[in-house]
Amino acid sequence: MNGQGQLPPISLNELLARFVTVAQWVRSDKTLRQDAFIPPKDLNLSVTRHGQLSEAQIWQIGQTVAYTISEKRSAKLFGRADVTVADVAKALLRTEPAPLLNNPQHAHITGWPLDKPAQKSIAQQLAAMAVFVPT
Amino acid sequence: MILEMTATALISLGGPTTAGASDAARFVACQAGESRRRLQASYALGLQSHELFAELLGVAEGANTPGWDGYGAEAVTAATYRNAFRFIEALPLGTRAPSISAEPDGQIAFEWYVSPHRTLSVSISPEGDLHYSALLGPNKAFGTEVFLGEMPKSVLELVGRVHAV
Repeated sequence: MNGQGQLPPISLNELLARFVTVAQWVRSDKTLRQDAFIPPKDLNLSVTRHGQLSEAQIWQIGQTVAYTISEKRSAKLFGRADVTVADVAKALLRTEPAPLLNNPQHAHITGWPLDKPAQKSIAQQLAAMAVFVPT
Repeated sequence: MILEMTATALISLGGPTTAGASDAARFVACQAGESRRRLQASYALGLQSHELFAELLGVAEGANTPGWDGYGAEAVTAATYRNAFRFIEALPLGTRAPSISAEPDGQIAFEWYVSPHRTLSVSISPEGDLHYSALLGPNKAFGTEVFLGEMPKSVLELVGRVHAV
């Protein structure tokens, strides 16, 4: 499908990428901090579905994210945090498609609790399950 | 050793704010706070506060514009920075140094880490709330404490549990 046209429904074994654009989100041992998964105020955490994308296409989307930031500050793409949709479900959250014009594979991790400590706890669990893939 | 005895006495005083009513109490609290800052600056007691303050500044500068993470994050405000600064000042001497980062909602997080499943993160908000969450093997703990210039006992206990073997 190469990111074009109608995407298949989200399946549990699908991989999701959270692009890492902040150095502090990754520890020196290459594990991920919870910060990478703390939801924004609207409680829609942006991820990109791997789907049928090639590695090169995934990184291209990541570079677009980094480029968006670089208009505001010096930014770099450090890598990505990969989690499965099943990991997200284990944390009692949902993965919903949220295609964008420049990223049809874009999705949201939703269903976050409203209180910050509970959000942090879930973000810690997701970070513990995630795999960091450096650029 | 005198330095150690002084440090022990200062640790027991906790953070820089003490609720004394008299001029004498305020003077003692002020002197204790100043001595504590000097001791922290000495590196002699394990808490490398110089590096922590520098790290905090770097984190705050890197997150001082909205959208700094590429996903619509909120900027770290001056109020949050001030509270985070006071949080470092309130760390008891000898506490293992946390690492510092900014969160997408503009709060500043302090992390004590042993492994992905043995970690504590404490966020400070612009209002002065401390939101904490710990993974302790199969167990979880999370909650909120109000930061009044001293480290809450519950948070200090979690720091100890994360590093307990």
